[in-house]
Parts: sequence; structure tokens; C-alpha cells
Amino acid sequence: MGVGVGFRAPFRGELFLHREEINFLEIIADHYLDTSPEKERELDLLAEHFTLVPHALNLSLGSAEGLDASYLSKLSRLINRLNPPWWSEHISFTKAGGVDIGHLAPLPYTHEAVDALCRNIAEVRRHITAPLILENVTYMLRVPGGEMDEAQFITEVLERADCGLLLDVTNLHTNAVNHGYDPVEFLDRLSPGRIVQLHFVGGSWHEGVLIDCHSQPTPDEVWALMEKVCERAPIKGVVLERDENLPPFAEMLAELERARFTGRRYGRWA
Amino acid sequence: MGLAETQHVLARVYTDAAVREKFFADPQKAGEEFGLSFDEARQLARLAAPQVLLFAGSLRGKRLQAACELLPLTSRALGDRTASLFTEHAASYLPKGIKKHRDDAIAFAAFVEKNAGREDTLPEWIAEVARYERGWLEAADPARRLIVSLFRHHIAELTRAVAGGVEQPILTARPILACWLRLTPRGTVRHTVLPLPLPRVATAIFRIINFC
Repeated sequence: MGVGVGFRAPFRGELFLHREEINFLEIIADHYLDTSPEKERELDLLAEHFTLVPHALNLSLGSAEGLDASYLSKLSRLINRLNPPWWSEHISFTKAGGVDIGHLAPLPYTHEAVDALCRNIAEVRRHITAPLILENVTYMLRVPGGEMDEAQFITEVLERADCGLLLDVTNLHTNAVNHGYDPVEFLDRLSPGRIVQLHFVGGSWHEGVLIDCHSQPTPDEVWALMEKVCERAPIKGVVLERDENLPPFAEMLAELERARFTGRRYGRWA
Repeated sequence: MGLAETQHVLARVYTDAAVREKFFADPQKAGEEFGLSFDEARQLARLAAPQVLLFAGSLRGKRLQAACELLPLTSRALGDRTASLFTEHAASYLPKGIKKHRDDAIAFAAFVEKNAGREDTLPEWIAEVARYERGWLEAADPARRLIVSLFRHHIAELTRAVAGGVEQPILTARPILACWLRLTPRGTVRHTVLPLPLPRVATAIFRIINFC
């Protein structure tokens, strides 16, 4: 596929002006569920001109209590309508016991959590035929009781659920910095053949903690990680996931071009 | 007992300050009170409080950021008071569902309206800015076909002043009727602002609507 960008309304006009430099768009699926006619028309317009890859936020695949049937129904209608090459969600949970956490919460690295994820993914596949890839998340805390480490947990989930990985290299870098481990050693423990797509962007520091706020240019460390992944994994696409502090679009295009060059150097795309 | 119950406790600890305080005061006891087994509670007691506080703070920060993006004029009018007011609001309201950020913003706007005028840093005109932005958010719901709101002041002038960065707008007492209309569920929202002809009549209508 090549290089893509996470769609954000403020640069909608620029996207159309630079269509040839962007191979696909990643859309936040939740923005188009139960939405206004105006957003529906926006989606139709984007779908006419770009390949769209939906990225969902609230399916809560890691919830042991099971999935929200209503949310799954709406999400499946959207994804089946778009018929994307793949779609993505997260290795995390966002709700439990009627409480909506509001963001991606880490799972304990246990066999029970692997079981819960696999069970929910099997349920999803009864409704959505497009391939699902799973994203690694950042975490500020470790849930006690882990039976394995994160790399082993991710590998086990991907193998048992037969899913691809959306490797967020910024999240990998962020966790490595905050929790003191070598991200390259972590990469070495993942199955390269499972890595389908990457996310990349820059974060910022807050009270001594690196935050994945998607608000800064991509730092050198993340570019270096991306290079290593492109070298060893047959990835199909990369997405610049800039959410905040949006720069002039030319700066984003420059990052896309650098990502395109990196992937091309390793034969990942033309 | 198991992962589902543990996740339920975690979700409450992450999102409810009172539950969090109770949990970290005595994690073993709180875990068991929340329905965990002795061993599960003992395991969860190893949660690191500073990291949980950091995560909980980040969750509140995301809610605040989303609310400010959806209520730009209200947050500009509130200025430095935005964060503390939002924290008050967030203590008693936790949104859920697909439209949680929109619902949160609508609820926060209602909170601002309810509390405007209670102190000097929250003048009453801020309530009108909040109500006007709330109208737009509610109108985005295709199920809402008509929204009508009465304002005591010239709302267009007021919102223009706030957008321009004026901290103490000059208020023109001019009753205004604002309407948001969606003719069909898939139609575009049409918005009209109508000055009312007679201030005394408008005030009477305002009182009737408030009474109803």
C-alpha cells in the first residue's frame, strides 16, 4: 500500500491537493458511527478518492466480559461497507462492568487475558470478514499478576488469534523509554511476518514521563526503529498519526516522503 | 471471580476519584469489598499508586481536551477556570458510548450554565455562550430535528467578542431566539438567529419557557 496519514478534518483540503503523495487514509471508525449526515457525506467523499483503513477505538477486545453487541453491529456495518484491505483495533480494554474508561487501558499479561482476546476476536470474525490487525498500546502502569512479558504476550495473541500486528513504533519507543528496556530486543522477539502496518509520530515529555500525545514531529529514535522494522518485516503500509499541534501540511508530507523512501529502500513498496 | 471482576475494579479505580482513594487507603480490603477473592485483591494491591494517578490524570486530561475542542468559545470565555470547573463536573459525570465526548461536552456546557453567576469569575453571560455552543452539539445528532433557545443578549455579538479574545464583552441586552432545524433526518442543519421585537414580550416568553 505505501504511506498513509491518519485523517483529521483540519487538513481535509490539503489531502485532496496532494492526493498523489498519499497512498491511503486511516480513519477513526468511531467518528463515523451513529454520526451526522454531514460526517456521512464526508466519509463518502473520502472513500471515493482514497483507500480507507478503519481504526477502531472502543471495541475493547481485551474485555473478559465480552463485546458490546451494539457497538460491534455498528462497526461491522461500517467496515463491511468500506471493504478495506484490513482494519485495526488495540490489544487493550476500554470498558468493564458498565464503566467506560475513556481510553486504552493495559491488560495483565496473563493466559486468561490471551483467552479473552482470542474469544472476542473469534466473535468479531463472525461479523467482519476484512482482516483485523492489532495495535500495541502505551501503558503508564503494569497490571500485577503477569505470567509473561509484553513481547511474549503480543506474540501469543497474534499466533493464537492468527492476526496481523499494527506495530506502533512510537508506542514501542515510548514504553521502552518509560519502562527501561531495549526496543530492538523487543522487536527481535516479534514475528516479523505478522507485522502488517506501522504507526509513527512524535510525543512529548510531561513531568519526566514520555507521553504518546501525537503532537510532535517524529523523533530520530522512532525513525531508527522504523528502519529496523522495514529491514526485517514485509510491512504493507505506514501511517503518520499526527493528532494535535498540526503543522503546515508540507511538514507532514516531508515525513511521509521520508517514510516512503525508507520502505522503498527495503523493497516494501514501489 | 477472575479477569472480568478485576477489570471492573480497575475501570472504577481509573475513573472514580473516591473509589481510587478508598482503594489505595486499604487495597486488600477494598478489593474484597468490590467482589474480588482474597488472592485477587492481594494481587491487585500491588498496583503502583503513582502510576495509577498518572493514568487517571491522563484520562481526565483527554476528556478536558475533547470538551475544549467541542466548546471552543466556552473554554475561551472561561480561560483559566476551564480546567478546575471541568474537574468539578467530571467528579459527578462519566460519559459512555460512541458519542461520549460529545455527551461530555454537552453535559459540561449544562454544568457551566448552572453554575454561571455563582462567583465573580463566572459571570452570567458565560452561560449564554455555553448554551449557544451546546445548541450546535445537540443539533449534530440526526435524531434532533428542532432546537430552540432564547438568549437575553445579542448572542452573535457576544460570541464574536469571545472569539476575538475580548475578556469582558460589552453586553447588548437584546432578546434573541436561536433555532437549529433539520428538515429531514439526513438533511443539513439550518440555523437562524432572530432578534425578538419587543424586549418585554421576549422576557415574558423567556419566563414562560423557563417556567415550563
